[in-house]
Amino acid sequence: MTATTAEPTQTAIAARAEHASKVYGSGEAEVRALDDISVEFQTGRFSAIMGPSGSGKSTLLHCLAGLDRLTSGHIYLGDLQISGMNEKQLTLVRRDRIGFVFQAYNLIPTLTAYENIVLPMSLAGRKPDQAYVDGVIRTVGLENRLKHRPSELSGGQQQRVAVARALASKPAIIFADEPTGNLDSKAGAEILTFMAQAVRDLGQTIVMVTHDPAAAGYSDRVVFLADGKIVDEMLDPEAGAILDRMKKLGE
Amino acid sequence: MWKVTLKGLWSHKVRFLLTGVAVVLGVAFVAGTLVLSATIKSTFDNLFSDVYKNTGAVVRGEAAFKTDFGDARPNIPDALIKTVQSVPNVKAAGTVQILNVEIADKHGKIIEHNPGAPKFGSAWIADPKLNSYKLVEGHAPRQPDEVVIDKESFDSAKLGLGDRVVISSPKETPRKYTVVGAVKFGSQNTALGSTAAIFTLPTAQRLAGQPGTVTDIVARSTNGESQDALVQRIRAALPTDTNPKLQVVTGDAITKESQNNLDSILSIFNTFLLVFAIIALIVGAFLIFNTFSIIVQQRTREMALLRAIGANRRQVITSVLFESVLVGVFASAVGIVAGIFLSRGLKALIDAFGLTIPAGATVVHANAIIVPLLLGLIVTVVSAVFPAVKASRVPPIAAMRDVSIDESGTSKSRIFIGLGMLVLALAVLFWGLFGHGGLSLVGVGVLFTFIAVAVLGPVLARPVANFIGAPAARFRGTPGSLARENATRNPRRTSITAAALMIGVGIVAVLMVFVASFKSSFLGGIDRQVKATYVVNTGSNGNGGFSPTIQDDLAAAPGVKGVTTFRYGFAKIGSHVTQAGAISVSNPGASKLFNPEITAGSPSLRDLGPTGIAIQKDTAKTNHWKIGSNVAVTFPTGGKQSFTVRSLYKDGSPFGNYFVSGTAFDKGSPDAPASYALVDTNGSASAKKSVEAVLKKYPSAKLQTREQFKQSVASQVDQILGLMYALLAMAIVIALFGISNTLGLSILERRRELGLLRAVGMTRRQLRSTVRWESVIISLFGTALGLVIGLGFGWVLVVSLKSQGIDRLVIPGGQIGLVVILAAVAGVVAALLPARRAAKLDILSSIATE
Ligand SMILES: Nc1ncnc2c1ncn2[C@@H]1O[C@H](COP(=O)(O)OP(=O)(O)OP(=O)(O)O)[C@@H](O)[C@H]1O
Ligand SMILES: [Mg+2]
Repeated sequence: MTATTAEPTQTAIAARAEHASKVYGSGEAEVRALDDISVEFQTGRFSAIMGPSGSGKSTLLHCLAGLDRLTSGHIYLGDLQISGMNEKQLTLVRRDRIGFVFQAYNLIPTLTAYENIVLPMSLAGRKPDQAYVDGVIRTVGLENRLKHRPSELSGGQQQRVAVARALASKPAIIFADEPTGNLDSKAGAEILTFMAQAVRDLGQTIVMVTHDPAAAGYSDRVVFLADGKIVDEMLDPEAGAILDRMKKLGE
Repeated sequence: MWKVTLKGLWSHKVRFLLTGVAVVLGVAFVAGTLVLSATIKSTFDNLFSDVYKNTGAVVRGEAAFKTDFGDARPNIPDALIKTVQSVPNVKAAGTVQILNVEIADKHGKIIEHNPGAPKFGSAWIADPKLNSYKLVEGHAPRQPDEVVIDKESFDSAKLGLGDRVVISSPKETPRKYTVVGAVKFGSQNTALGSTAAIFTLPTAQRLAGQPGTVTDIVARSTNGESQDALVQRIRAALPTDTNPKLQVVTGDAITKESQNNLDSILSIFNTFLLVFAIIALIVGAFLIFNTFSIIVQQRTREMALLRAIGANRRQVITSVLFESVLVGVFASAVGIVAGIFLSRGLKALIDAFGLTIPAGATVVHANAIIVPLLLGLIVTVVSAVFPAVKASRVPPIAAMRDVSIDESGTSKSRIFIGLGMLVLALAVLFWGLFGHGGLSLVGVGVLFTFIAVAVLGPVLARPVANFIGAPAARFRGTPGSLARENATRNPRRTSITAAALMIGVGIVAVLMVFVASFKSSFLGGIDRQVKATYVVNTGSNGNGGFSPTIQDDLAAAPGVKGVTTFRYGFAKIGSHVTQAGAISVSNPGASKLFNPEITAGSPSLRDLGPTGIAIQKDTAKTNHWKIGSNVAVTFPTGGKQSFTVRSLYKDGSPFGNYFVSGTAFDKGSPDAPASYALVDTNGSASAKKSVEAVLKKYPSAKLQTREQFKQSVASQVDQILGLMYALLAMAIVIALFGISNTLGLSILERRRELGLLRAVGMTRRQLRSTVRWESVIISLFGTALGLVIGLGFGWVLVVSLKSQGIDRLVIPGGQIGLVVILAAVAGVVAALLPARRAAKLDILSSIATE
C-alpha cells in the first residue's frame, strides 16, 4: 500500500484539524479534551485514532464530524470549513458528506435493515444509487436480512447494517467510534474486513477510533493521542507494534 | 422506599405536572359546578327569606298539580282579602304576580337590566311589613293609571316622578301610566336584575287577565303569636266550601317550599353541568392511566433494581400508589381553588349563551371541597392501580430488556374481553333506550362502550393508524413514515392516548347527529304544517308571550286574510304534567294556515268543543287512548275534568302533543298568553305595513317570515348546542394535554434514537415534523374512533326517538369534515411543545444515554 502514496489523489485531504482545542469546564475543573491538535486525514485511507481512555479520541472524532464544536481552532472537510457553521448547515453536511458508525445503537428500531441503510438518503429526499447500494449490501452479506427490524438481528448483523448505511450514501468520509467495541473478535474481524475492503476497493475514506490494537491493525495509519495531544503516529501498522506503542503510552 | 419515591417524583416533575393538569382541570370543573350552584342557591334562598321575612301566613288555592317549576295553582277570589283582614290582630293583603310586564322608556325601548332577567308586575301592598319593596321616592299607586317602578329602572331610564311610561303585559296591550314612585328591594335597587312595575290591585288584576282574583293572600299577626297559631285562626275564619279549595300555610313553610322548588330546578342544572365535569374527569383518568403506564414502563429498570435489591412486590405497588396519592391530593387541591374561580367563568359562559342566571357572592360549601377532592383522588389512584400492579410484576431480569418498542397488547384474550365488554355495553345501552331502563342506563352503556373500545384500541391502533398515516408516509417522506412507525410502535400507548380524545369527539358526534336530525325533523314539521306568510313569534328569549287580543287586531288589519294564534299552558293530562295548547282561528276560509296533519277522527282542531281533545298519535298510543276514549285533564283552574279524544294527529308536530278548544283552554288557564300567531296576507307591501302597525301595540311580539321563524327556532337549538360544545371543550382540551404528554414521554424514551437520527442528518425541522405527524395520526385515530362510535350512537338515538317526532336521520357531513380538520389542527397544536423539545435535544448527550 505504501506504493500508492505517491499518487496525487492519495495526497488529497479528506479531513483536517487546525490548532483544534476543546475545553470543558473552567478554572479548577478545566479539562482540555483536545489541546491544540493539528492533524490531517487523507482521502482514500483507513486511519485509526488510538490512545488511553479519556485521551480525547471521541472528542476529536465528534468535532471532525460536526457533532461537536471546538473551543478554538478550525475543522475542514475537504475544502469546506465546518467550524463556524450553524446547526442546520452542519446537519446537512453530516447527511450528505459523512457516514457514521457508532459503538452501539446505530439503528432506528422502527425501520427495517434496508430502510436504515438508505436513511440518510431518504432524509435528503435523494434516490439511492441502487446498484451501488446492492453492491454494498452484498459485500456485507445482508441480502437475506433486509426486511428485518434491528431487534431481529444479532449484534454483529446490526453493526454490519450500520457499516452498510455509512457506505451506502457514498460519503466523502466515514467516522467510526469503536465500531467493534461491543462485538466478539470474529464478528469484529468481519466488520473491520468490510471497512478495509471499502477503502481498498471503493476508495472510501474512514477514520476510526479504537482501543483495540488488533482493530487498528486493519488501518493504513494510526494516530496516537494522549491528554488531548497527538503524541505519535504509525504508517501501515502491525498489531504487535501498536500494542508496544500503546504500552509505552500507558506508562 | 419513600425517599426513592419522592426522588422519583422530583426527577419527573414535568410529567407529573402534565398528569396533574388533567386532574386539576377535571376537579376544577366539578368544584366550579358545585360552587356555582351553591352560589345560585344561596342567592335565591336569601331572596326568598327577604320576600317572606315578615309573612306569618299565606292563603292560597290548593295545588292542581305539580310541575318541574313548582305547583300549578288556581287564583283565589279577592273577596277573601276582607275575610282575612277581619280576623282580629291580623294585617293582610292580596298579591298579584304577573310575569313579563314590560316597561317601555320615553323612547319606546323596553327596560331590561339583564338580558333574560324576569320582568315582574304586581299589586301594591299597603302594609310596609308585608311589602318586600320599600318606597324611596314618591308615593304608592292610588289611581288605576299610576305605577311605581324599581329604582334601577327609574334611574337607568332617567325617569322623574310624574313621567309617563308605556306598560304591557302578556294579557294586555300597551297603555300609558304615570310613574308616581320608585322602590328598592331591601337595600338593592333591583331584585337580582329583575324589573318591577307595581300597580293598584284592580289594575294588577286586569294586567294579569284575572279580574276579581289574587294569586294569594299574605298575612301577619300583630300580637306576636306563633305562625302556627296565626294559621289556625285564619283557617277558622275562612269559608270551607270555596272553589278552588283553600290552603293556609305558615310563612316559614312558604319560604322552605320556594327554596325547595328552586332546588329541584337547580339540581337539573347541576346535573347538566356535572355530566360534562364527569366526562372531563373520565378523560383525565385515561391520561393519568397512560402517564403512569408509561412512567412505570420507563422505570422498569429502576423497579427491577428495587426488586433485585430486595424490595418486595407490595413495596413496589405502594411506591407507585404513593406517587399517585401525592399527585391526586396536590392536583385536586389546586383544582378546587381553580374551580372556585372557574365557577365565575362557567356563569359567564352560560350567560354568553343567553341563559342569564343571577348569582350573588360566591358560596363555597364543604361539599364543593370534599366531593371534588375525593373524586380527584379516587380517579388518580384508581387509574394508577393497574400500572402499579404491572410494575410489581416486573421481573428483575427485565433490567436488561429494551422497552422502546412494545407491541404487546394485541393478544387474542384482549380481543375477546373487548368484544365481550362491547356487547354488554351495547346491551345496557339498548335496554336503556328501548327498554325501560331510562336515561342513566343509557349513560352507563355509553361509558362502557367507550371503555370497551378503549380495551380494543390496541388491536385497532396498528391497522387504523397505518391507514391514517398512509398519506403522511407517502407525501411527507421519511419524517412522515417515521411518524407512522412511531404511532404504531406501541399500540397500547397510542390507543389509550387516542381513547381520551375519542370520548370527547364521540359525544360531539352524537350531539351533531342528534341536533341535525332534530332540526331537520322539526323544521320539516314547520314546513308541512305552517302555510302562513308570517309568523308572529314571542320576542325576548321566548319568554312569556303576548295578549291573545292580537288575534282580533290582526284579523281586522287591512290585507290580512287569516290569523291563527296558539296558546300554551301547563295541564295534567292522564298522569302526565305537560303543555297543552289551544288555537284560535279567524277568517274560517284561511284556516289552512296551520295544517295539524290529522290522521284520525274529526278532521279539524276547530271542532273540538268544550271537552274535546286532540292528541298526537304516538302519545295516544303509549297511553292506550283511541278516538272516543275519555281522558282526565286538570288545568290550574277548574279542577279535574273528563275530555274525549276527538282527533289524532301526526307525530312530531312542532306545536305540541295536545290541543283543546279555545273555550276549554280559557277556563283552565285564564292567564295564559298567546305564543305564536300565524298570519296570511294578500302579499302586498301595504298588508305588511298594516300587520306591523298592529304589532306596535304588542311590544313582545316579533314579526317573522316563515323562513325567519325557522331560523329563530334553529338558532335557539344551536345556542344550547353551542353551550354543550363549550362545556365539552374541557374534556377535549384534557385529551389534547394527554397527546402532548404521551409524546413528551415518548420523546424522553426515544432520546437515543432521536440523537442518532440527528447525527445521520435529520434536520431539526424534519424532526419536528416527525413529532407533529405522529401527533396528528394519534389525534385522527382518536377522532376516527370517536366519530364511528358517536355517529353510531347518534343513529341509534335518532331511531329510538322516532316516536318523539324525530323522523329524519341527518348525518352532517360538513360538520364531520370540520371535526376531522380541527382534530388534525389540534394534533399539530398538541405537538408544539414536544416537537420543540425533541428538536432541542443535544445530539451527543442523547447518543450517550445508556
Ligand atoms: N461533556 C463533557 N463534559 C466535561 N468533560 C467531558 C465531556 N465529554 C468528555 N469530557 C472529558 O474530556 C476528556 C476526553 O473525553 P473523550 O470522550 O474524548 O475520551 P476518549 O478518548 O474517547 O475516552 P474513551 O476511550 O474512554 O472513550 C475526558 O477527560 C472526559 O472526561
Ligand atoms: Mg470514547
